Amino acid sequence: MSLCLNRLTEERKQWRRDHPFGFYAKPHRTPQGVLDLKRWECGVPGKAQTLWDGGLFKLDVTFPDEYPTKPPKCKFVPPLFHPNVYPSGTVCLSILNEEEAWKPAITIKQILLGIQDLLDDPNPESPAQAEAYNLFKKDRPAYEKRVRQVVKENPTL
Amino acid sequence: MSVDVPGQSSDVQVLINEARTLVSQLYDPANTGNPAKIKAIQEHLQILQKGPQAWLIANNLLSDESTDLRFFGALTFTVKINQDWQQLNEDEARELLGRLIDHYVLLVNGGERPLVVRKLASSLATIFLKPNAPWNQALWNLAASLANGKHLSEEQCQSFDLQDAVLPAMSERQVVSLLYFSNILAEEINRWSPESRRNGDSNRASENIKHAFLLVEFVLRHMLQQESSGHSISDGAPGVEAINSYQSWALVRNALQLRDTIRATQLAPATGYVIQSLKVPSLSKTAMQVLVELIDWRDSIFSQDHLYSILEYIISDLGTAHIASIMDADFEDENMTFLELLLAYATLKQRELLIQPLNSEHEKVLALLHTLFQAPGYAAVDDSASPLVLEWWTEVADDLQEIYLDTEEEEEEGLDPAKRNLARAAMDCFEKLKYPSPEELQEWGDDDRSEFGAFRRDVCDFLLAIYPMLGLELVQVFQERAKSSLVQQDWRTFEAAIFCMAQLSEAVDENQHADACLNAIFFCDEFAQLCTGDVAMIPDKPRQTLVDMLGKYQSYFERTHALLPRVLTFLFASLDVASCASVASKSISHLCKSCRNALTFELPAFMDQFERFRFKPTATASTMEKVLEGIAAIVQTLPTDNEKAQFLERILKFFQEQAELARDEASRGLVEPARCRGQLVLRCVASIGKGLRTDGEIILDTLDGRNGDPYPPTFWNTGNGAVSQNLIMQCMQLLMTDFPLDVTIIEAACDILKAGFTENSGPYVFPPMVTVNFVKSIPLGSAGTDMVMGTASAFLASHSAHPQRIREETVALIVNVYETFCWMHEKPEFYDPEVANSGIDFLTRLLPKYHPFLFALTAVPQDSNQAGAGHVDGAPQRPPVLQAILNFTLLSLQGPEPLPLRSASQFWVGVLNLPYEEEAVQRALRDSIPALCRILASQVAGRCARSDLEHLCEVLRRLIFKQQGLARPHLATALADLGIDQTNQNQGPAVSPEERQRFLASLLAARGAKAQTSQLTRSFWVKCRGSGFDYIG
Repeated sequence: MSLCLNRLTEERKQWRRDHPFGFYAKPHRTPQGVLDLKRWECGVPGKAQTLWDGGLFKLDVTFPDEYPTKPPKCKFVPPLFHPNVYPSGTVCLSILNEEEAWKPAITIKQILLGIQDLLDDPNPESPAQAEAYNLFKKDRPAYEKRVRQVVKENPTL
Repeated sequence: MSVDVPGQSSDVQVLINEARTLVSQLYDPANTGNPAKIKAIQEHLQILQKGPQAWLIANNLLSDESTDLRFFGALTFTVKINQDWQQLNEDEARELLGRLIDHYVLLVNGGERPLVVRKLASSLATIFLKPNAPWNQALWNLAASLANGKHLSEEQCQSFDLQDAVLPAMSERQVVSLLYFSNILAEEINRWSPESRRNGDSNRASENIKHAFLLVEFVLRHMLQQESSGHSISDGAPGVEAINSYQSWALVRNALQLRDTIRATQLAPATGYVIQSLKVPSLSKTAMQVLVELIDWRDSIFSQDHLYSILEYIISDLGTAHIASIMDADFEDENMTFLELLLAYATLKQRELLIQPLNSEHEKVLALLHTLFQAPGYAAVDDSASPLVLEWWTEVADDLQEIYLDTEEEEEEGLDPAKRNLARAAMDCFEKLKYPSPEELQEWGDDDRSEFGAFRRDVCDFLLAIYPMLGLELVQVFQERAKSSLVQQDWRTFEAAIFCMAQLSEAVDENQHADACLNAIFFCDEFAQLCTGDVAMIPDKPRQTLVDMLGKYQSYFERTHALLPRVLTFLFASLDVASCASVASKSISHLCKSCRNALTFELPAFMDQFERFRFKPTATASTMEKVLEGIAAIVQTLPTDNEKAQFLERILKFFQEQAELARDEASRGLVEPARCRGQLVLRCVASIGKGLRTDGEIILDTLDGRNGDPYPPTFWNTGNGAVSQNLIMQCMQLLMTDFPLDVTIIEAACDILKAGFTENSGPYVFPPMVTVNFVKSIPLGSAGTDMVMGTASAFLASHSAHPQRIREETVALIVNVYETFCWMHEKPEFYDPEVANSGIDFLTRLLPKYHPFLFALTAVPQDSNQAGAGHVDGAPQRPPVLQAILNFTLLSLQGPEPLPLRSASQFWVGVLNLPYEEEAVQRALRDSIPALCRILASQVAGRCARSDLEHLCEVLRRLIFKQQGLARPHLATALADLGIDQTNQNQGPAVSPEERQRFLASLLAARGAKAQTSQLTRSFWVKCRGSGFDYIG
């Protein structure tokens, strides 16, 4: 447990010192004003010169007690239209899967950058929602139109 | 190794010359534009560097006249040492070391350039780090050799004391070169990974740490003496090098866990000199950077005296001059480094600064921390200090909060000074929140906007952090500012104050703590005027922030109905302003829905506002649908159906006209505008249906009437309400037939149908066949098929209390799916995974309540082979419905498409869960289980993708749990036959028959237990794929 909190304190420090432009990540504050280090509110911007450019997507990152042995759960709030995001908003990404590519050394910064990469480069091998996946595979112009709509609904700032 | 090998000299000379030529080509400006050539030269040189003659080449080049060649000589030594260290015996290693030190001495004394000296220092450090290197006290040894003019062995050095004899005898140039080596050595040691370290390495390092710190002390003492004697230092480089060296070796001490071997007291003199260097202009910045880093480590390297010296510097004239510069808008590096030092110190002492009686020095520090918010310019755009200071105050607030929560009430007074300081900081940064004027904003780039936005977000975080300690007073302060600035129409202050209140809503909206305080502003006359007055009265930005803020106090307004008319009037007016429209429409929708009963009398006024709004440029599908959802929610509260119908007709008539217009556009070839209008119409009509739904109503259909009418006559289908229902149906008809459909139109049409599924009666409750016809009308392969089938499932779910009443419709829907399956089976080029997936999904959902209808379809439907499939004479006769469906799902279980595979898995889980007593189910299962077993066995034997495994595993475990007797022999046969089947191309290294039998036995023993089955299957799959499999990607 304390390993988890120590690591998160360190992650917070590192993030403050150096984080990629346009992203944000901070522990959740309860209505009582208390910080909850195990739940972070993050924002992932769409990459410049991609369909997702101009959007900022809110993400809840929840760390289990066993973190960093186990990976955090990343969930878009509200759920995002994307082939690799479950209808619940949970992101399906190999580095976030304990049985796949998760390693305790992966930092929050790497996770968020990984998710940013995923936005414009979906993995058709592991669809997580039918809606975006079907459109992505079948009707690319309609898919792109929807993405542009999503970006408009989630503007930066 | 041997440097002098007689008889080979001429060959070697050729190679040396070759190296020279290549190096001069490498640095030749003529080649810089030719990367291919440079690459070829480098590759050639690397071969020479690793070749057998590399020692000789390196040695020779180091004595050359050209700097480039000497540099390359040093580099070659490093490459060769890394390549061939293991080949050298101890004598050779010593010889190499001696020779390199001689080179070093010679080059340094000859005035060599730092570039080459550093490269050679790195070759020496490479030797030190090699296993069994014959070198322990490297710094002392190199220092003595430099002082001596040529290499001395370590034994010979022992008679010269480093501090008293060697260092004083060295020239400045020699000392600087020794510092180069010291720094590089420390950096290299820090690069050692814990795994590659061996026993004894720490000892060797620790010997050198002491000497490294002696060297730092010596250099800095010397420079500080010089400075204090009035000779200002012309070249700070040795001092900078010494301070950096201090940090690198402090890091070595930490990394190798030598804090007990080398105590902080031993470092105290060097630490003291680094702190004193703060006052020397040429050393100050480096000293500040290093101290910031070290304070951050919190490893007690500093004594109380040290810390006091740092404090003295911070509040000295030299220190505060940096603050003065920041206040003059000079955010240069050195000033910012000073700010970091101030904050690092203040972090270390934060509790002393905030909750203990202040001494005069700390009082000054605290004053600086408040002053800094007054630096000129916009935070994060011009002023880079405020964001850092704010971060410090937020950390302080978090820390104090922990103390606060643990403090007994009677002791809380002790925290008063802290609270006062936090409140003051909140006021300090309030000024920094003020938004730029539109003219200023125009000058800003996107980055500036985003940085300023991030700063404002950080301020919210700070406010929420101090709220628990300051309580309501905090809201009150901003409320008062908001009110007074509203009276004075000082919109920038008003915007900032409203922004702060908005952020604090999280803390106070749900409870009623701040209601009195909120009443004070929202009930004041100025606010009423603002809401009902001229739109141009308030500029866009404060309007936008106010709209956001109103959205965040929804619970408060839900409790304070008296305010709703004016607030909603303001929100409706804000719909016209582009930057407000989206949030305003969301708030309208939310407030109208949650307070619908209090708003019935406002309906006519809102309708008028809506009718003005619908022609404005901001009236998009997404804003309109929200506003309409809200209005419809109020319509729903009208006491009689007749009144409801009147309002609905008025709204719907407009959309029916728009639908006609869209159709007309489409007929004139204006496809895109037609689509847009069509989307708007259907989305709005759908959202009206959503709004009309009674609060929390669910269908309560418990009437038991097997032969009851699924569609009894009501006010809405036969009475006066039928006009509204007709208008809705007309919109659908106009836009769903012979119209350029797209996924948004289909989705909206689905929403319209679904709006009626949860109601017993109403304008959206259509005859059941309407849904069936809608599903059948969607062309095969349209995007959005999954939503259409989802709607079909929702339709069945809404009638699940009396399936018999819609038997005919259910069968028609199943047959429709059957036909699409047959069609895709007959014409594989039309196979569409979305159609497959959504069809299977529909079937899965109907299983619990409607399976008797499905399992009774054991014949070919009358008119099937013709329906929609373009049947021609002679085409194969289609199989019966149930058989075709089961076959299709079995094929999907082994197909390459992930979604149909998943839905087919769920389908089979559903089928296996059906009551086996029913004869139709029994028969179907008996027929299908052999194929199902064969497919599952081959898939889990490494054929399926890893991500498919968990889905197939679910089927397997249901199969074993429910039908072990039936499945066992088929699974055994299928597993035994693995590999014989040529289609299993992915079959990895064969798994022995015994292993397969063991796998099956374990599966059966697990009796479908989830964790075990999944574990067993996963390992079996990995085994079949071969041990080389690892997750990539």
